[in-house]
Amino acid sequence: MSGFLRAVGVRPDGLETVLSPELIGGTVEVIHAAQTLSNALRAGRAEEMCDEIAGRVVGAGLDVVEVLVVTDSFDIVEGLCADHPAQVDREEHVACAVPP
Amino acid sequence: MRGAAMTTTVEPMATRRLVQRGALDWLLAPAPARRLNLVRTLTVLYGLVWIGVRADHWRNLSRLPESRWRQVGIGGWLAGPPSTAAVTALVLATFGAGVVALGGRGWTVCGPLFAVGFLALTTFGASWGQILHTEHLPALHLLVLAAAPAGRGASATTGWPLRVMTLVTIGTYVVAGLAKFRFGGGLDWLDGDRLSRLVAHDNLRKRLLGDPFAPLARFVVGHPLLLRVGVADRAGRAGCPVGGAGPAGAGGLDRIGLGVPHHRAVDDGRAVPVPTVRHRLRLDAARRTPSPPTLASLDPPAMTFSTKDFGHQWPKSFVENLNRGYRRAWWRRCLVRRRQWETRRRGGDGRRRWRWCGRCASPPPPR
Repeated sequence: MSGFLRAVGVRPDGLETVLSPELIGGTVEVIHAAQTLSNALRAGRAEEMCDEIAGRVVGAGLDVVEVLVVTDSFDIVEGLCADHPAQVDREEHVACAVPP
Repeated sequence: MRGAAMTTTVEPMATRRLVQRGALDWLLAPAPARRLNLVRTLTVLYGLVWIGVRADHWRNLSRLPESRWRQVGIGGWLAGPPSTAAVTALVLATFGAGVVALGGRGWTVCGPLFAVGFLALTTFGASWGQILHTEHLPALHLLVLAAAPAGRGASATTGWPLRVMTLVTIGTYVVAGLAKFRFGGGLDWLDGDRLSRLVAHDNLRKRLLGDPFAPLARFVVGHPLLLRVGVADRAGRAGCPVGGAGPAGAGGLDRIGLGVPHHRAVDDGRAVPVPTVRHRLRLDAARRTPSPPTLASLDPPAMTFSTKDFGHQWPKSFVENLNRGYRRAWWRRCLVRRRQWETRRRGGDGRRRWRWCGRCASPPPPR
């Protein structure tokens, strides 16, 4: 079991969509995006990071109304081998609205 | 008459100096200039490809908010992150210097420029919260190559850059291996479980963030035996300087000047023949002359080993093998010394000539 810190977008119909590393961290690097979130959370700048991500979401033109910064827990071996990884637990750190 | 094994009377300081000189001889031993040129070309080419792949990423980093700037390394003197224009100019200048250096022209100018530019770009990339360790080794290698000569036939000075690069590589992987054991899970690496979880974690994270992940990751994680085989990589990294010696360690020690003959006795951990050290000390005293080697210095030593040197507990065949191996090593050094002398006399074209000098007592034994 392992936790993955990530940012997800909530659409108007309530469904969630995965935000790409470019929207999260500003670059295409996955590890950089994850490390950016981790550093922001550790430094107590999670809300500021969430607003920054929301600003990039607006710039990308996605149909997202809210951004959540969460830690989702998965069984890493089963999650990798499964067709659809099953989330075991979630811890929500911060949520922010996407400006219109 | 049976006697006790010989005990050493060589002073520890003399032995230490012998080891230091042997290490220096290994480091400064000549190498073909073409070898250095090839390594330089491949390293610069790798650097150019890396810059081409990472250029967009570095430019994207320059657009991030200044609050995320975490300067490291040589970027510590900067007041703030450089602008996108400055990063773009640095990328173009570094790439241009590398292209010119790749052609072998103006290495004394373009080589250091390329090395410093590459270091600056990778340091900039590491100053935004993510340190990419795969960039460290090429940056260090380029710095070593920047300090190396151009390598046009100067074979006497083209050996040390390659060996320094080797030492840098070894040191990097030793530190990486030890860090894995010290901070990354300890002995859990040995059964492959740690590696399995790491591979699964990394690929699942990419999958959850919508990034392409390794297609073989599922297969590898489902077969733990493959990851146990991968444990040899960790052990190999941590034991790099020792494992690199291995069964040829005694031969390697001979090459660095300890004069230990590669023999089963050494591998079994039995005593090192003491007269070998004494001979090396005499040879080094004769070798300290700055002038080209004279005929007398090229002659082999008069004394060779006999059973009396070791006492009668050693078999005669061992002593014969020792004499044969020692003479062969002496001939090899004789030929190398003569080649060096002729190379210097003929202007240093670096061509390799192997022939019997004709002044030793007898031709070299067959290989």
